[in-house]
Amino acid sequence: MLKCKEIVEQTGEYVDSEMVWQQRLAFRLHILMCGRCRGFVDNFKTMLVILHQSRNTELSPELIARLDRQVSKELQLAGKNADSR
Amino acid sequence: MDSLNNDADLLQALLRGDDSAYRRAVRQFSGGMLATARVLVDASTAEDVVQETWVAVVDVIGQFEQRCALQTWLNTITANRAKSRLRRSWREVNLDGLEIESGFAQRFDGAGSWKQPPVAWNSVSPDMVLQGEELRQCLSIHVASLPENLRTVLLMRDLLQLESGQICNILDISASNFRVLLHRARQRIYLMMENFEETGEC
Repeated sequence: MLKCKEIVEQTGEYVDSEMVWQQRLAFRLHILMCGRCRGFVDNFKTMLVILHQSRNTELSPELIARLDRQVSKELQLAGKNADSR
Repeated sequence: MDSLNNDADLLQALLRGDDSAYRRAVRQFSGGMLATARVLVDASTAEDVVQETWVAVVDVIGQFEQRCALQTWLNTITANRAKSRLRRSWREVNLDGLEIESGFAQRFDGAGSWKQPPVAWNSVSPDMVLQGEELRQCLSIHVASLPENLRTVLLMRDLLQLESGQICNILDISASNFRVLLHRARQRIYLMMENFEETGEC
């Protein structure tokens, strides 16, 4: 039987599905029976959702315009190359 | 009807070299690509890397095998390009294994059972992050203050959701080293969030 401290050590591998089945089984058995560790794992999962949400993916209009220009230019070049083949 | 309403339609249009599809893809995916590049290089270099990546994508889009989402594929190419701009190399950190952070260690008794168990989070929730600035700000301060190697791994895995194997390739670190770095970074962020839950303060 795993100790609670080991659950804290292994939660990352558990949520990332990087455990062999024996390990996973032992982990699940523990959290099934231990409300405290189940609470920890729930909080941990909440943390991961929050981290993913907090990524900053804002783009400046200037960058978008620059990317549009470069991509159009490249598409024209690629088109010409394809035509000349 | 919008014919580009999902990744599959968009991909077909990109493969045809449709200019308007690229304009749409630039808007949809560049944010994630920029965030990926910024993990590794400064802000201005990151913009250059995203531009370079799009130019390259026009030529290599046919190689996308759809084994992952288009965003993930684009983020991976971006990360590899950003890495080539990175002068400093990554060193393997000293491995102490997946031991727990001191903030956690004191919460267990000698037998490894909880002495001070976790409480369920109420105020720390995804909704709270969307509604309020405080938790988001606190999180960004704590992420920024992580040692560089912990921060990079955490950003790549948990914010950008790159695959572990890809991160190891990009950073040239072993799988075990990756796990230790990620483990430490996550524990520190967990303790920060727990403190926020208990005190309402950063």
